[in-house]
Amino acid sequence: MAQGSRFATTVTDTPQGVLVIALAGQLDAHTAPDFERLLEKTIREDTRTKIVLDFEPLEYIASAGLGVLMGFIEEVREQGGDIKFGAVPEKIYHVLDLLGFPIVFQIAPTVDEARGMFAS
Amino acid sequence: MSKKNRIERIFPATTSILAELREFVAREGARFGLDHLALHNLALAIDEAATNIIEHVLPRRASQIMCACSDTPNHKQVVYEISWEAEEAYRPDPVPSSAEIRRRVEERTPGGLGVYLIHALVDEIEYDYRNGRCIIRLKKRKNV
Repeated sequence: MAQGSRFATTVTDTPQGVLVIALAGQLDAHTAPDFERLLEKTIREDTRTKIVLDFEPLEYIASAGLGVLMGFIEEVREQGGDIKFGAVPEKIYHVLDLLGFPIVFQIAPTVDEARGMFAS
Repeated sequence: MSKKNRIERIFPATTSILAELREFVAREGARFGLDHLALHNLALAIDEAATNIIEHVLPRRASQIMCACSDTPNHKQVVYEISWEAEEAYRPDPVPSSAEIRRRVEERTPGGLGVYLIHALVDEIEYDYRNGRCIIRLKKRKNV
């Protein structure tokens, strides 16, 4: 688990090479660099590109956190992978929807369904 | 506006205070009767405004920002102010349209997300400069 001041992640390897990263706490301009370092390591060092983000434990996200996701999505897709979202709380979905994120990112009601999108 | 209806708090101008700032916004807004969703949206709008000031207006300076929360005399709105000492008025970035922000997201150009959110999540926003302080005033109607 990577710990920020009020942000934490739990990374779980699952079948079919899909990495599930659970986001917990508050992702803002102060904690976004922790998240960016984790994605850098996951994608560039560990070359893992099939990623599901589990939003269920996430209480809060600001544009700094969303900017991190925008910064990696193209790189991941160029390598045949993707970043999919699962279990997004309603108030966070509202923010994603305001900014048009559902057009760019696939969002599933549950983490299992988000994982399943890689098989389809 | 009576004095007791205004609560002020000073924060160092660093992103490490953002969580504490959001807690202040939520606590005082709840005291003035805002509902859960309004509090979340206001906390996000004020976080975005404060982040922009801390990272782009007050970088590398030992500065402070003040957040104030007050109820309007008719008790229909809650007003938050973010203010800081400055020698000249703050010139906010232009607000992208909804279509423009969606285009930027599709093209993976992150600029402008914060300023768009600020305007999308509050009912009114004003920029003021008085007594050597820049003030961003954000207003949210109570859902009564």
